[in-house]
This record gives sequence, C-alpha cells and structure tokens, in this order.
Amino acid sequence: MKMYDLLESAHGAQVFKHKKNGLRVILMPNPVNDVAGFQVTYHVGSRDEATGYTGATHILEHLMFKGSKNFHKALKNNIDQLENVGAILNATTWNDRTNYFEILPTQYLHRAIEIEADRMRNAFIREEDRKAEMTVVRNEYEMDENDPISALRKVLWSTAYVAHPYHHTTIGWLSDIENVSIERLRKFYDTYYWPNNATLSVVGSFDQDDVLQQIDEHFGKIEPSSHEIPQVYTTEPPQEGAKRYVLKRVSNQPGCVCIAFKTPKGLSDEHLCLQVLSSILHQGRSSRLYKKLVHKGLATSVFAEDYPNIDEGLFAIYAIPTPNSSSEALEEIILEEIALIKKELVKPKELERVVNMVKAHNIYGRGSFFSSLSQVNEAIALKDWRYFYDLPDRLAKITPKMLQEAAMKYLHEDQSTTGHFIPLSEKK
Amino acid sequence: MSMNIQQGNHQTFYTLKTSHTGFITGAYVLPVGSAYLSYEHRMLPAIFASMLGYDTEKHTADELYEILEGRGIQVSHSASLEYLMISFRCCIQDTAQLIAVIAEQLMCPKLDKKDLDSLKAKMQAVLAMQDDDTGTRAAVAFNEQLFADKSFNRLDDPKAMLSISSQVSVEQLKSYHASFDCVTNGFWVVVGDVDAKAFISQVEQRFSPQSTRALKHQRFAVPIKPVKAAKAHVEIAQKTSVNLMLGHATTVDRHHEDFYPLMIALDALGGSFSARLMRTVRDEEGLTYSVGSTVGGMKQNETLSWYVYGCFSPELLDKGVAAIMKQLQIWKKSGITEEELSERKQGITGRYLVAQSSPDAILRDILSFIEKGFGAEEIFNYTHRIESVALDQVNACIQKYIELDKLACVTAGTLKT
Repeated sequence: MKMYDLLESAHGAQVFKHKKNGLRVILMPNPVNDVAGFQVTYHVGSRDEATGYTGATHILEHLMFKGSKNFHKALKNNIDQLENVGAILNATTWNDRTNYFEILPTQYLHRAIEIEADRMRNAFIREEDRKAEMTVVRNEYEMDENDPISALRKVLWSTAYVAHPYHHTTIGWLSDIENVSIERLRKFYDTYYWPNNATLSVVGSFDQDDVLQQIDEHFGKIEPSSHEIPQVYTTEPPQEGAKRYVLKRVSNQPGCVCIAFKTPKGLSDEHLCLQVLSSILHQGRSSRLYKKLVHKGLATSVFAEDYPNIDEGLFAIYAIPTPNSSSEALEEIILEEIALIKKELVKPKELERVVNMVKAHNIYGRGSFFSSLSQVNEAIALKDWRYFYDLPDRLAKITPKMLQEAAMKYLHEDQSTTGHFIPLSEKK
Repeated sequence: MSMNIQQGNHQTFYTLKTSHTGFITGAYVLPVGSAYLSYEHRMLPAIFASMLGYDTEKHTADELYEILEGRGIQVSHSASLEYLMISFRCCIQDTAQLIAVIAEQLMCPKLDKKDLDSLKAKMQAVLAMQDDDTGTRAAVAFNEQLFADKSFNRLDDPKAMLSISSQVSVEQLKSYHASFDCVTNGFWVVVGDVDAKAFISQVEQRFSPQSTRALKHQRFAVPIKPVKAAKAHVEIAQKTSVNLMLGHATTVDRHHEDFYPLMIALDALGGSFSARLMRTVRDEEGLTYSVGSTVGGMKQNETLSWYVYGCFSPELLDKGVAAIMKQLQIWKKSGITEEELSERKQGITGRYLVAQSSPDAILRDILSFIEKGFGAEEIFNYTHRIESVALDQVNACIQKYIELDKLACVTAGTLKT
C-alpha cells in the first residue's frame, strides 16, 4: 500500500504508519469466523489532566458518543446504531490512554472505520451534551464510591503520589466532574484527538488490503495536528518515609488492607521483575500469600495492582480479612512475606510457574477478540505494541537474583504507602 | 464448526472443534446440584464444590495447584441448582494432566474439618460483602416480591446463606459425596482445539465408575405468586448510588412459544445503548449511568420475570423512576415498530455471531442450552429462532404479559438522611 510505511512485522501482526498524517495501524489477523474488532487508541489519559479538570479525559470519552458531523442521531446513524448489526462497542479511559472499540461481523467493519474517522476531528462536543452527560458520569462516580475498596484504592494513589497526575484516579474528583467547562473539554479534544496521536488496531477476520484502503480513505484525509502533542513533564519528588492512611465508613464489609510500593517506569526490566514478584506473591492458589492467607482462612481474597504505566506507578497488594483475622494481622503477614522475598532467592520452580502462566494466558487470549484488543490497547499506551507478545521471551531472561535485587530496591518501607479500610457499625 | 456428541463407556462427550489453536476450554458436569437436595441442605453442593479446591486423599492442595498452575492450567469448581461443575482451560499438551487432577479432586477429596472451617471463615467475609452490596440486596428483595418462598427463582439472602453454611458439617459433605457416583451420568463439554477421540480416551483411563448411585430431584418448581403491585426499600448506610429494580413475574417459561417474542420486546426497551431506555433516560435526560431491561428467573424451568434495572443518585431517583415509567407506558401502549424489530433481530443475531468467535462463549451457550433442556445443538438453531419472530407476536406479548399497574418496585441504598 503506497500510502503507508510498513514499520514492523512480528508475532503474525504488521504495523504501518500513514505517510500523510502519522497515524499508526496494527493489523492482527485471526480468522476464526466472520468477525473483526476495530479500535482507536488515543495517547491521552488522566495523566494529561490537572486540578480543575481531573476526569476531563473520561467526560470527553462520553461526549464522543453524542455524535459527529456525518454520524449523529438526526441522521439515525449515530455510532450506537452499530449495535443493530451486532456490534459490541464501548470506550474506556485510563491513566495513559483512551480507547474506542467495536467488535462486529466483518461485513460491517467499514462502518466502524468510517464513524471512528469522522469523530476523530468532527465530534460535536456541545454544552447541552455536557450538561446531560455530567450527571451520567457523576452517577458512574457514585456507583464506584458504593464500594469501599474502590474508595480505598482512590485514597491510595492520592496519598502515594503528590505531584504526578497519577495522584488522581481516572474518573476525577467529584467537583471537577460537576464543574469542568465545555471550553476546557473542547480544548482537550483539539489538543489530543489527532491522527498523529492515535493508533488503530484491527483484529480477527478481514482482508488486509481492503482494510488499509478503507482506513486510508477515511482517516487518510485528516491532517496531522499543527502543534506538538504536549507531554507530561511533572515528576514525582522522592518519597522520604513510609505513609499510612485510614478510611472509615459505615459498612458491613470486613475491612481491607493495602500495602503499596513505588515502582519504576512500566517498560523497564525492573518493572517486569516486580510483576513477577507480584505473581509469586499473590497469583493463583500456589502463590505464597494465597497459601498463607486465603488457604488458611485468614483472608477471603488477596489481589494486587501491578500493571505497567508510562511513568512510575505502584505495586499494591490488597487483602480482605475473614472473621478469623484483621487487616492489621494481614498487614503483618504480608510484610513478613515481602521481607522473605528480599532475604532469600525465589525458587526456580516459582519463577517457572509464572512464566508458564503468562505463556498459557497468551495462548488463551487468542480465543477472545475483546481480550486481544484490550491487551494491545494497553501495550500501545505504553508505546510498545509488542509488550504482551514479547513477555515470554523477556521473562525467560529473568533470574532469581534479578528478582531479589528488584525487591531490595523497590519493596522498601520508606517507599511504601499503607491503607486500612475500617468498617464502622454506625455513623459517628 | 460441527458438534460431535458421543456416548462413551460411562459419560457423554460434547466436543466442538473450532479454528482456535493450541488450547481447549470446557467443563465436566454432574447432575447433583442443589435441586437434588432438600431446601434446608441447598448449600451443600456449593460448599462441596469449593472443598474440591482443597486437599485430596492423595495430594495436598498446594501440590495439586503447583502441578496445574505450573502449566498455566485453569480449573474452577462451582454448583448451581442443577449441576456440580468443574470448568477448565488448558493448552492441548496438558490435557492428560488436567483430567488426572479433575478425577482425583472429584473421586477422593479429603473433606477435612480444618479446611471446611477455613472455607466457612472466607464465606462469612464474602457474604458480609454481598450484604453491603446494593445490587445484590436489590436483586434479593426484588425476587422476594415476585416469587413464592422456596421458589428456585428466589435468591438467597446473604444472611440466610451465612446461617445455613455455618451449619454444614464434614459428615454431611461426605454423605453427599457418597450419594452419587462421580462418573455415571456425568458429561463433558469441550470447545476449541479438541481431538474428540484422544480426549475421550484420556478421560476413560482416569474415570471409572465406583457405583451406580445417582441422585433424584428433591425440589420442584413452585407455583408462582399472584402478580401484584409492591414497593420495598433496603436501606444500606453510606451509599452514594441507589439500585432500582422494577417489574413482575409472568407465566412464560423458557420453552414457551412466547419466550423469544417477549425477549425481543425487552431487548427493544432496554437491551443495549441503542435501545429506548438508554437513549432516553441516560442519553437525553442524563439521569443515570446504567439503565436497561431484561428477562430473569427461569431457574429449573420455572417461569420468567421481566424487569427494568438502573442505578441512580438518591436525589435523581424519583425523576429516574418517572422517566422509566414514561417509556414503559409508550412501549405498552404502542409496542415496537417493524423497523425496531428488524434492528433488534439483526443486533441479537450479530452479537451472537460475535460471541461465537470465543470458545468460552460457545461453551457457556452449550451448557446453558443443555441445562434448559434444549440439547447442545441448539447453538445452531438460536439465530433461526430469533429471525422467525414476527412483529405481531412481539406486540401481542407486550399486551398479554406486561401489567404496568402491577409492578414491584424495589430499591437498595441510602435514602434516609
């Protein structure tokens, strides 16, 4: 295709860059039946927000469903009409990216391409839509707040990070959701929604030449931005000691503890080491903390946040106590296990288990276009689309010694933030 | 894609080879769910299922899960009204290992008191979390309004489950386990890169009957309660969003000729973003993040309920209910249009095709069709059944089964200040 440069072929996929506007396209054929998935990932997330407009990326994502110049309700061809041909469609916003996707019978793939191209630069972004959608987003916030553990997580990030925008979660602060102006949202759209700040991915059953031609026809006519896409330059100042916090609410829930440590940037080998350590600690019934906490009936579950971000993030372990225990007792045991993982090399068998789980997970992922799109979306956000495909090879190079070094360096008390959810029996 | 149904020496095998390569997803199913026990003992199968994840007479759970997870094999145990089920996913080269572990877990579970106590402690915490969940509490209260006591369609209240589960003993679990054979009457459903012949052979090496014991249903469908208007609220402190359920029971069951017309009518009302409720209550009026409508109930072939669900800020709840009622009245009065029917049918069959790209979804559909008494091949008939529904059938169903003056309206959350 003369309108594209082929950048890379790997793992059965091909990556192209549009010569005119810099749009990247990843084609991942997997012809299991006549179904295809299409996705636009924009390199903008809640990391690009600041006080006063936290949550703006997410509200904008909602407004993108309100119509664009050539596809809107008055014409009865708004994007949700794709559901009427069988599409499963949605969008999500996260720290480092926003994505819009449609999984649908291949014969309608061209419609998804056309609509996504139209709303890249021609979305309405109107005040009347903001007014109606603000309460929708506020209800999403309220639903999230119904869960005390979700609230505990929110406070975790805002306690651990003080300067970097990971301080606030993607949904934003309530008062910002309620008050952000349409001008601010429009500016946000005009700053980030450009072909040179987006990557398309296509998965499933499709004709490669045909899809590239359709993408060229609809996205190719969009000019690249005339400005440089702004990049976050705020870095988190060094943490100089352990942080602790408590969240109290009236609740029948049994409480929860979370213990978090600052991590390096997501693409580093050290981050991968921390993910392996996380798996050794919490993933599966043969993990150390499952055996110590869940199997013994001290915790009902143990789970972790250990995903990679563009910038430094958190490795957080959460545990929910049973009546046989308490969040304080669980904290003690988790810290003992962390001390042990720093003191003694992990067994090769434990490392092998994690590698095999990742390999199998990658194979199972072929069975879901949703999973394929979701995985490549997170990898695109990291600016390494091969991230998950390359994991088995990268993991094969990791040694117990590397894990110990990463644990010593990052799982340090002074870099920790610990939170407890304390359920109250009645409102004080 | 074609289904292979084969009767082995002792078990039935439903295998569906798809073009996914390198792995299989599936389930081994025994008809020994809670409908095969008395109402008082209805939690035994679920607790027994959870206990299968602990030690066996031959190995500790640690040893077994190191074998499974060391290969990336995924196994989970569950129980429903009809079935005890072991679900799995594994790479094809690990099939023999998978079958060996499932056989061991099923045939010689240790059922140790220490493990049961540990499980009960976990359940206590999980049930406390459910008791704090507005969605769970609304659903429990809604089904209480609709269905008679001991109906299969009732959902157990978390507190009741806590009370029943605390009384379960090791002796009861052992007695339950001894009351059926783990091989006879069982069936396998396997989807993906499956070699049916090899799979059956591997199973039959590990699974041989110990007895002919089988369970018979001890619980049966309960007559439905008269449909009447009702209102209930479950107050849960410090919640910022209220869950709403609005609807009533019907006389239609899953095999009734009006099932698909009614299902499509509810899909047009609130089955997706493009349906009426999302377009109006959310998109135009901004009153909620989540609103929709669907059919529920139908457990063990009891009749179905229909309902509208939604989440609302407490101060927008009344407006939300009014907006939903407005749409319900339009829907009841005028039914749906030919254009809507065409869109909904195409949407449902298209989504079905999309789902069929995933072996997990195919497995789920096959299991559901078997459980509802249609047979596994129903996965090939589903789209035809949708396509054959006519507009007058849909609108006649709305007139016949929807009674807006007899709605049960249930909320859960914080309304008191």
